[in-house]
Amino acid sequence: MKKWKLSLTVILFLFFFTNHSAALAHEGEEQESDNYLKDFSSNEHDHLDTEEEVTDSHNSHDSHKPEDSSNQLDTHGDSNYHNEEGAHGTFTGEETGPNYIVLSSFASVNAGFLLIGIWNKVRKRGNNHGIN
Amino acid sequence: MALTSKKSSFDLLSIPIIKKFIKSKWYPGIFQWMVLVFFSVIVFELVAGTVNPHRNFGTTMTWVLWWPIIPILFIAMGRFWCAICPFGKLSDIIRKMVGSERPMPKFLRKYGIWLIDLFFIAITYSDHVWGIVESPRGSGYLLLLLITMVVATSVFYERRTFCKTLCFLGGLAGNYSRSGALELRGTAEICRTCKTQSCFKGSEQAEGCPMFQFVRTMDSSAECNICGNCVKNCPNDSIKLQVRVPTKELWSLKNPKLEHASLAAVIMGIVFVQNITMLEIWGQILETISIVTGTSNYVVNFTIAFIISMALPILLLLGAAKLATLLGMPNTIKKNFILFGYAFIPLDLAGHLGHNLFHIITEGKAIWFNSLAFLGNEVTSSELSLASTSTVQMLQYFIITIGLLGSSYTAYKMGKKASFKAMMPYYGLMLLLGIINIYLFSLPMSHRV
Repeated sequence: MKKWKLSLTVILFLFFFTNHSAALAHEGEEQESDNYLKDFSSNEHDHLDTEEEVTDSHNSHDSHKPEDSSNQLDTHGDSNYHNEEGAHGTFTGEETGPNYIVLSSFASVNAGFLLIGIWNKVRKRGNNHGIN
Repeated sequence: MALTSKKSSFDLLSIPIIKKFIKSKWYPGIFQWMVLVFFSVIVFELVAGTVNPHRNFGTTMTWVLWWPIIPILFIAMGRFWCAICPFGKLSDIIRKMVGSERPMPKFLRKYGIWLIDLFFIAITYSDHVWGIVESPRGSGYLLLLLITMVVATSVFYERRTFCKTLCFLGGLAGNYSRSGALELRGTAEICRTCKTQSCFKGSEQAEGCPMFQFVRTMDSSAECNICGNCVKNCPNDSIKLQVRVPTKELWSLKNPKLEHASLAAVIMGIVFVQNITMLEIWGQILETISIVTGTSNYVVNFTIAFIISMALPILLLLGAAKLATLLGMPNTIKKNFILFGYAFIPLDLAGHLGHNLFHIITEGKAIWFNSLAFLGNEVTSSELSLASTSTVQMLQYFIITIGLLGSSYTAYKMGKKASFKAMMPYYGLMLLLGIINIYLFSLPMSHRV
């Protein structure tokens, strides 16, 4: 196996196995596991919110409740669901800071690739000087 | 040779100021740097800002502004976005600094477009299962993953290997740009006698085509980024940047490919998934599937709905191709499937545009509010919509009608001497898909942010 392929394999291996905490898309947000039907129940525009904890109708794909669909849905007709103001879902989740483990994993993988690039450049330059 | 004929459309490069600008070092660099800076802010906001998607500046800019605008850009300006895309610029920077400039691997050259199709489907699926769009962190990690792919490919391979063979948006961009209103081509008489081939190889003025295109043989706008490198490099002033009738390129395809036709059908399925999952009836559909599967597990039931949505347009197109062949259409079923698959691109575009129009109009003010909030000014307004939902609905119907007309006319031009009877399956399928789209747009829909 060529050197660069070996380096690539090592980097990918490190990337997948050094990060023990799984990075989920809904990190820091509450999950409801039992009810899979989407919750369309919320209708509050949260630009007015000052509190950090609010209720979110979008954030859980595991919580879909069609029976409460009247508010979150924007309608195209004259039905009871009509909401011309553009419903803006509220949010129930804790504000969390950046996940430094995930970010540093990305950073280290990218830095690894860049180091390979630098190494290749240095080696090529060295070879050229050797020839000349 | 696919070049411009003498009887050509309006050439934008005949306007001196445009030609001078494209030939200058400012183009496309000035746009690239602006987009790159803005993109960096967005990524920072996504990974480090609020986890509330309704308030996150990055989420709003990415999914309420950028994603709906993208199809409009492809129609109006071809793949110009790819020329100024931050991933592309990042690739250029890395290649110049530490790139090995190895040739693109054969595997990627051969199966790249299939990988693009797969990535696009995988990202759509992941979004619905893990909620990437609705999660700032999810969107941020997706962008970081793409950055990692860009870095990896740019360190090892030449030109824009990532954009050409791995970018999830590449297939969509290619297909939509085929029906776009802008095309870059060479002048037949000049290119025929050219010995330098500097459009492909590059020169002191600029590097060769980053998308591996050779203007002399380029017969499609699917892989032209309109980056202007060929304009800068051509010593013979052969390049023309012409305005054309949208969908015109599709009327006489020289080398139609299965992967592009399949993607066109799959995009229709993706648009259906995007629409259906935001509708009230989505709950009922999941309940029905759960009765069959015997589980209430969302991932299982969604996966089944997703597979059906992806497969259905392909099967319908295959059925139409078979029926058309039986009714006297020349060529084999496979050839008809591939050729007429392209005819669905205008309808895809219309569906995509119609769906996203809903978001950009009914959630449009979120862009303004979250931008102000990002700058430190909280706005206290509960109204997000830029227009009434009935107005949006009318616009959506109009767009679908235009898409339907575009697809039908494209099929008519592709059919050439085929009888109306043989063309009926395609017209029928297009009408059916158009009606389904209109029906879905008439139903109550939930918001993205």
